[in-house]
Amino acid sequence: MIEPANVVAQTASKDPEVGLRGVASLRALLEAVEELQVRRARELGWSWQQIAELLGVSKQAVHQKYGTGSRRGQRRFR
Amino acid sequence: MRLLRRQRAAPRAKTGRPAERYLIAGADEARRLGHGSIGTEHVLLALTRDPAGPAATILRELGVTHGDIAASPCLAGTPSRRIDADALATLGIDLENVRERLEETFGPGALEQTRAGCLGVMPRLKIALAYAVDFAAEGPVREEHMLLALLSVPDSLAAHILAERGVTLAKVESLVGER
Repeated sequence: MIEPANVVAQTASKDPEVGLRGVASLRALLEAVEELQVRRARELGWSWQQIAELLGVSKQAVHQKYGTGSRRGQRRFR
Repeated sequence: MRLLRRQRAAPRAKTGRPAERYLIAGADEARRLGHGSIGTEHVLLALTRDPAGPAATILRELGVTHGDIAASPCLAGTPSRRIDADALATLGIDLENVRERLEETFGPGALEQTRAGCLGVMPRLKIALAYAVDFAAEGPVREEHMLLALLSVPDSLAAHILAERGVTLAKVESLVGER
């Protein structure tokens, strides 16, 4: 059986608009998964340093993005 | 640099959130349409979904049905969700599959609780919700108040959709006044 997703990929992957939309969604998905993982690691007592090493970024970068005092994400609506 | 970057937390509302149920109803409509943010148009859709509801009754008297609103081309202009299942499918990623796995670890609705996965609230809807609370004065925010509020925000998509069908704030006000 051919999955609908595969049909779309075969027919439309050469169109830049489709490709770019895919990239944007992939990036948003990445951001969401990163936020969930970082939040959980912090809840489990991981240090910023440990999290940053695994993500391959500086601990300042990850702290600035997810640390307390970062207002981003406080006003969210499901 | 530190001083520049530091931002104060948003002040907490002193009372409850009297118009929140309209925001939640609008969120359901936005989600159903696959839109990335909640606007006045979604709240208008929600208000008219129950044909027996007060707002739907008023609009029907003015000749507008839920179907008319749902068919408006204005609804197509709302940006889609940042995490778009169809766009991911073109890369061979099944968002439902990803969602299931995330929920195993992070609980139901996990994706929607992140910054990238949550719905935004359009500025004009925020103003409309505040107006609705004003219209309600001290009492509960009723559907009539929400409808008046949507029409009171200049350039709101809801007001635009209704204006295309000849519904104005004055007409709705006179009908609400009769009740």
